[in-house]
Amino acid sequence: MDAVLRAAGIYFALLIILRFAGRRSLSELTIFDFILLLIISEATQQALLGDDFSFTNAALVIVTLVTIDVVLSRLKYRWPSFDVWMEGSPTIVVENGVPLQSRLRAMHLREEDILEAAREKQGLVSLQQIKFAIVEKNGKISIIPVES
Amino acid sequence: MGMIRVKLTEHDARSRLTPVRENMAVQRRLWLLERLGLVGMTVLVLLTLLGLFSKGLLSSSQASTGQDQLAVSYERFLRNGATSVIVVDLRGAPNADVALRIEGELLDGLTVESITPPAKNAATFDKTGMQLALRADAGGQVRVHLAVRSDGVGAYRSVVRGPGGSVTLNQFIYP
Repeated sequence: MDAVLRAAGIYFALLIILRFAGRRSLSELTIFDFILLLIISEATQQALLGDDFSFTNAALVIVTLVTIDVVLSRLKYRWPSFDVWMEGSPTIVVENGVPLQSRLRAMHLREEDILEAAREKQGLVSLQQIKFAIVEKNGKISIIPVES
Repeated sequence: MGMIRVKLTEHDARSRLTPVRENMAVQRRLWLLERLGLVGMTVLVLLTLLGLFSKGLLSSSQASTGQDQLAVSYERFLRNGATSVIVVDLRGAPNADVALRIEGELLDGLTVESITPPAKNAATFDKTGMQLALRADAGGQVRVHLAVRSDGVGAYRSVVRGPGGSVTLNQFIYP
């Protein structure tokens, strides 16, 4: 019983904590984020397994985690409103070359962050060349250039 | 509270349908939740520093009888699987055996891993409790360290008795 409770507890605790941390926090992985991920996995390992290092316990924990994950993704597929609450909405931050300032502020993004993504993905250098910049559900910034 | 409010202009608060279908009403609530979560996590860190989850001002405590015949230092908050130490100070007759009795739920929630110095004699007390015979020093003083591991989850109330009185320990074990 406790294998399932441990796995479910850790899964939902991490889900809530990473939600609180915001979308961009872990999607654009800096070296520091990478180290943070390593430490988080190290810290959860003990709580997941307890003092039971048996094959059965490891298998039960993994099965529980995968089951919760699959069930949640089915629920998201079945009910789009559940998906929006779990993942958030894709959010347009530049519209026809004009940055939507209050949205950028709400997401703690600067114009420079948008320009960085524009350079990286499309080789664009100014906001005027951007038709849409969209912060996707996974936190990545999509750039759609103005058609020439 | 300014940092918690998510302010959007009317133009920015409107959900667009192209090139993606937005749901700004939900997104604003999620931003608000994010901010509340951040405040909550900060409070949690501060409470942890204060000892809400063992070891700190709120947790480390001492219970004693009026005349200092018996004093117990212990952690009010424990975590399942973690170890801690309970220190019991007793006063008895010089160079004689002193009886220490622990009753109640302490032994249900905690496993005593070691008793230092070892007791001369150990016995069951009152069906579920434990009685230890400890040798006092020349001044009649006894100090015993119980290394304990928390096994249970929830609130536990137990009583430690010495020759000169008893103290009640209230402990809570987190999962």
